[in-house]
Amino acid sequence: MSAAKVSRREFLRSGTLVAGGLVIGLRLPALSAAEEAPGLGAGVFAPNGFVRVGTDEAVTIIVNKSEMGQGIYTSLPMILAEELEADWSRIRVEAAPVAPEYNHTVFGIQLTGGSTSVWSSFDQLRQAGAMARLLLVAAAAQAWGVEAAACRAENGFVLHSASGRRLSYGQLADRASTMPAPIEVALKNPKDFKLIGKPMRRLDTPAKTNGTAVFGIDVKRQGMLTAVVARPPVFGARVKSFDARKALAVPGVWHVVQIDAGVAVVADGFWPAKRGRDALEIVWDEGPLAGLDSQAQREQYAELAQQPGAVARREGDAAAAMGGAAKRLEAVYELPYLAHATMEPMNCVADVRPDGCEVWTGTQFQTGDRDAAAQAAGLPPEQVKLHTTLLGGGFGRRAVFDSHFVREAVQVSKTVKAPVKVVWTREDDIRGGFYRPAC
Amino acid sequence: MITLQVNGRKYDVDVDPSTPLLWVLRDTLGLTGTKYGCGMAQCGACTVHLEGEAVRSCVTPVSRAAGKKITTIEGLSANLSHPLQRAWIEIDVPQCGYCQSGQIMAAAVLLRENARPTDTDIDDAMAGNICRCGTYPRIRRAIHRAAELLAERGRR
Ligand code: FES
Ligand code: FES
Repeated sequence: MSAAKVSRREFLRSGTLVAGGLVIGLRLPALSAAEEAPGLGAGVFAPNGFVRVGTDEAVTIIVNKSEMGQGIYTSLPMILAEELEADWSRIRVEAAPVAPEYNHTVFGIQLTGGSTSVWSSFDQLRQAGAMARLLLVAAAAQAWGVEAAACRAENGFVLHSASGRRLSYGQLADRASTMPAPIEVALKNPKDFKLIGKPMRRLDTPAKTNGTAVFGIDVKRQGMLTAVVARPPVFGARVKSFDARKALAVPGVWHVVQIDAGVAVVADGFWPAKRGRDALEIVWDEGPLAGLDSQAQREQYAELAQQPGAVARREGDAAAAMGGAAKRLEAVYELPYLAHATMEPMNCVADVRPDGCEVWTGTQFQTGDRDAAAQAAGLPPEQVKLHTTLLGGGFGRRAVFDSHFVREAVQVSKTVKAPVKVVWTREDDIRGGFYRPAC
Repeated sequence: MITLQVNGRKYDVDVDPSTPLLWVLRDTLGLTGTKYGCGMAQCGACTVHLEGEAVRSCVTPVSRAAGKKITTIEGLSANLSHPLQRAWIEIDVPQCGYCQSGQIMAAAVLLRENARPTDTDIDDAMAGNICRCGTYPRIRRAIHRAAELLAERGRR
């Protein structure tokens, strides 16, 4: 196996099959400047953006997909840990920051959706784990003055069978971080898999059983205020005017500010914010959709359904086959607009300062949300730090093209110059959130 | 000032007496394990114990809880040792996890009143606790398992 000196910052593309197994050219995105920052601490081994091994034996796997109940904070670590030959009991999970190396391998932006996470991350995380393993083995071989080929990795240790010596990953972390990055790695033969394909306990269950799991709505920041927004009574309505006096009279209410989404009441906590919101007097310009009517809309859709639609695929002579059929079945399927009804109501925490903006939210759409936050804050995207929390359900509700729930929090924080958590009430989301498409 | 006794600790809070207990727990005391789901006693996410009884903290004015014993998910055990928590982990009940504090708190009262609940008992007692992820079958299994663990503990 070759281990040429190559900068960690480079993409490498080559693939060769050599005797003994599949050796592939590493196609791992390098660490971005932010990830390579000195904050990593001495001795921490961080060979790529997906894994860190500490001298304390902790193996931190950085997951670039959002955990919303599907178990991705367990399944993706399994893939990496498999190739790393890590001790599963040492695995910790950390949400990835927003950076190009964490983009979806197929979609090219950072997002979670479409039931794509495991298959689209599979090769990438195997490589990331294998690369880390190779470097740990190389470090051990160097320490012992033996051939790397005479060593093997197992359950968090590198072993040299000939001499019976062994070193733990934590003991090797420091040295491994000085080893040159390989250009090729050998992946395990799937018949040797110990984790992949086996039923495993979820890593996030204990925290979801004692109240310590942190969802977006649970984020706390120093000096943080909470906002509840008076939202349009119909889609597309705009605030014409409002009287904030009664809202401001509610104890605990500090600000009432107009934003694109409506009027935000900013208070010490949710309850005063909600009471303030309910006390607002707003005159709305309901706009062209004021008369929107479900029945009329349904009829319009039914009429449109009679027109020829786009052809996705044409094969054989369907019309003739139907004409000659012995039995014909006809059915009409209708699907209404439905609220996704994530168990955790929509929310977002934003902290806009002159020199940067931080966002904490349970999102499925990091790239878009980061960019939207930057735009709303009037800052370049590099100055926005987005932290992905656990999601109390996603279902697509937290992957929205206009990033409205992030944008509004940034707008409020920017205006009141404090960290702000915007919380949607359940009714807000059912009444005026993004619905599942109807048909 | 209202004096609250939460998970064995005393707190003096300066809030409007009509404030729902949920928001005092979450925003004033920082105990965010108890969740907001609907704010109108429809989902069970905010379930806590008041003098041992399961209540919807989102519709319980804090004044009603004054001086009474309140237990939240954080106070169920110090180390995940409660039979329900052990069963929850063993059976891997949660998905997104957002509803689970409420589920566990509701189940705790059920088990105290009925040490060997049937499926029907469980479904009846847990009907007010919604899980959007649909973990109901595992919640049921885990309650049965916790009942077993409790019985074992009793025998020892
Ligand atoms: S938040 Fe209290 S029952 Fe839903
Ligand atoms: S686990 Fe997601 S709502 Fe119950």
